[in-house]
Amino acid sequence: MTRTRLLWVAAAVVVLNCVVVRATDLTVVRVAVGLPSLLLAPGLLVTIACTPPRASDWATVITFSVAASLAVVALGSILLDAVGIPLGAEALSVWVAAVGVEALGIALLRWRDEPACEGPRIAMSGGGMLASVASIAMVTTALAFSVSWAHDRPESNRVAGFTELSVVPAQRGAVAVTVRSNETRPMEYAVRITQPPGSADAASFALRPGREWRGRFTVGQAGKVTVMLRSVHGEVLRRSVSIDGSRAVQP
Amino acid sequence: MSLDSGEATNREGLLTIALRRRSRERRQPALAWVPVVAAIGALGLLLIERGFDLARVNGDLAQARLLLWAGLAAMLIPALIALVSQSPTRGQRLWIVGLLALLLYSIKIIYGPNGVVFPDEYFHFANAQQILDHQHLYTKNELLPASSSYPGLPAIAAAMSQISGLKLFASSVILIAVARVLLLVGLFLLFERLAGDSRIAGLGAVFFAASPNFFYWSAQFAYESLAFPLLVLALLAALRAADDERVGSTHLAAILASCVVVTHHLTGFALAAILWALIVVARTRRSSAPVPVSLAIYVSVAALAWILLVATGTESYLGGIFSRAYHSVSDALGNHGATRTPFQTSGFPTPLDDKVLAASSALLAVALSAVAIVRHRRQGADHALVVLFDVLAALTVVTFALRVFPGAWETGNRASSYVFLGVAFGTAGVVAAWASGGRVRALLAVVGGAVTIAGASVIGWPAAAQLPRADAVRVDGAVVRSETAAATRWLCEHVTPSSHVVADENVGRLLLINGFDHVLVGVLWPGSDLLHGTTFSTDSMNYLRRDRTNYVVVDQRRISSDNALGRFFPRPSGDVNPGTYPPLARAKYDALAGAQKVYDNGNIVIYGVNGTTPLLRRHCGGSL
Repeated sequence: MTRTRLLWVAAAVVVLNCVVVRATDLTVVRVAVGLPSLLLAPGLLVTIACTPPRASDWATVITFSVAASLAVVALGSILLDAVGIPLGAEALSVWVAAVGVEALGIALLRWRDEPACEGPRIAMSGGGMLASVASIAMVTTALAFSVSWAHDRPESNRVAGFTELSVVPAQRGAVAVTVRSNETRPMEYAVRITQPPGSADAASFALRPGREWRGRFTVGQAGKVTVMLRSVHGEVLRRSVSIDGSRAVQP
Repeated sequence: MSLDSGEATNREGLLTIALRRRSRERRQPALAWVPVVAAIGALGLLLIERGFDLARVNGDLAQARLLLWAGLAAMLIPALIALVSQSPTRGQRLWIVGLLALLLYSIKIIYGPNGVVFPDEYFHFANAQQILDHQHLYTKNELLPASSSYPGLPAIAAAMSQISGLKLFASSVILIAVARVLLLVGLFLLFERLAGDSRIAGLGAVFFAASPNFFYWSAQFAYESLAFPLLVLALLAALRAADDERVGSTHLAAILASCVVVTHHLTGFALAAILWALIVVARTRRSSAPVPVSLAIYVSVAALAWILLVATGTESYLGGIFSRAYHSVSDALGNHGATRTPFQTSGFPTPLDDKVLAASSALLAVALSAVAIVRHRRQGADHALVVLFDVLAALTVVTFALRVFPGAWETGNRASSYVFLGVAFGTAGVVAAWASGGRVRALLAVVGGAVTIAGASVIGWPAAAQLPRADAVRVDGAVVRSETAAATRWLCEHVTPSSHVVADENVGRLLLINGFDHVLVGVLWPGSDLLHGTTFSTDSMNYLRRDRTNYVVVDQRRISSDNALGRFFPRPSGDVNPGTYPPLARAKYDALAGAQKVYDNGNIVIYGVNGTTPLLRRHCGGSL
């Protein structure tokens, strides 16, 4: 591909991105157009506009292009923010396109007297290209498998479980009590509510790991309401939370 | 200039030699170096993932570590064999360097595939999240105020997320992956320009991974992780600009330098310092400066203007770090200050084999740097950047030495990336020349290189955090979260994000990325008093009342102060920071007028203070 054609393709990508951002929410399309238009195309145009033709090999051009693209986005965000334009997708894509088109114009004007030349070439045979693509595929496949395996929450009974108890005010003079089991085995619990002058067993129930129990109890307005949780079968588990009775009266 | 053969030292000579070499390389038969390195490296990644899985379920940790080292060896050794060998072409070396950058970053990805996990990532992720939420920059970040004044990284991540539709976390991973590849490929191009040899360039780029910060610290989603690769490329563009009479190349260097300045404070100043150092060295040697003076002036003015006009307050943040370092060293040297025992993380001992590996890495780096400096002087290498690299390499010992002083540890750690520019370049030249002397030497060079790089990962990251931990596990088909994650989720579900919360390092960070703006953590004044003191000091009581604190999250475990490990399930077989804070640290709130204990999960209790009661709010985001 000639340098001039490469410039036009890069400019087309950044302009197309403006359309895609407005036209579709499909992530696949937006990734396919959006990432090159943020991470490669504007920098490519800027790099070619700044540096003389034939001065760089493909690796240098691509490396500078990616870096310059990042700079275009970062500096553009700062500029847009400074003039009070919200940093939305549309504003950013228009900024990137504007810089790209301007760089295209500069490059075409600046190097118009240079003899037509090839763009940065990837000095690689067909086999070499195939090997490189295969290499990237192998690494990304391994990464995809690894991430997929690592993404799953591991099965484990070696962690120390625990139980959560909380109390929040509910409407009409009541409190909402929540018990959540993060234990590694099923547990039976008992809840006792104390508010001077009395106290009473409020509920007993069993929870499997990861499950939650919610209760709602009407309480008096005066005095501190204390909710105590214990496990039924004598395991060492004591939790308590408290709340002012007056705070339980919510509109 | 070719440093290993003492050939002509002018720039034309350099370019001619490089072009001839490339032409020769193109005629050589293509060997399948790249796919072999990729295939074995990919297997290595799978091995590491298996090891990480074992570590997450608290399985056999020794086996998990073995799998980590085996996987790392599978990534490094084939790449080093290829790069030490004479036969790969320049293009193949470049591919190998790029692939290795990707493979090594993949380790971080599978370390925390579900969200941010490293201590500094929370600050920058929260900044990016704020940009997405509010669509403007410089939002408040109470945990690391300086970070929001340098919006380069979060602005790019937010733009990627908005334009591509990807989640912010996915965008942040892609951005740092790009930065990592840029770093090693940029170093390749920089070293190649200096040495005129793609073999030295490839080895140098890979040896940079022996910088103690490379594996984990610099893989974080943090501003320095992006700024440093841009510094390398700005430097390369500056060198090119000096060779090119047309002004455009300087413009490219200035664009990249501007991005460095708005991305990270220290890196911006470091770039200015490097450019001036190059000019001074060139002047003292009466040769033409290798970078344009105008660029050095521009970067200096831009960095100063940014810190004075935009990032106000950053100077006190940086001043604090350097002041701590200075006082720590001067106190220790004056025999009245503490020193830090290497290889100790909050009482957690580093395994012996890790210590041996780390010590070997440090010794090899220092020794090879010394050999490289002597070699360069003997060869009369007079390029200003080579001289500067030698000075940086000589400072390696200093950065390692700073690690034994508690207050200077951070400075030594941060400086290591810069000094390893010199170490990597010098070491590559020495190894390339030495390994050319036969297969045994080449093999020793490969093993030495792998040991140096792998050992650096032990130096730069706490031993207890080398392997990942789980913050949620699946039990009986349901997801069970760690105590820290559970308490944070409760706050997200019941409390408005505008609430003022005092919390430990881990809950505080998780709240930050879930939209809580006003969080005070234990490390900041008077957080430690409020969370760990047995009584209320006047300062802490004033803070509670004056700043209208709404909630205090008290974790009685000492590990809650560890910002790398505290949010995960603890290891059942002994762990860092064992034990608990005194019971009074928590009980003092029971006696505090108006305080209500609204949540209790055993180790963590949440108090509503100042008469606050929780409000049912929302479901928390996907990060919990």
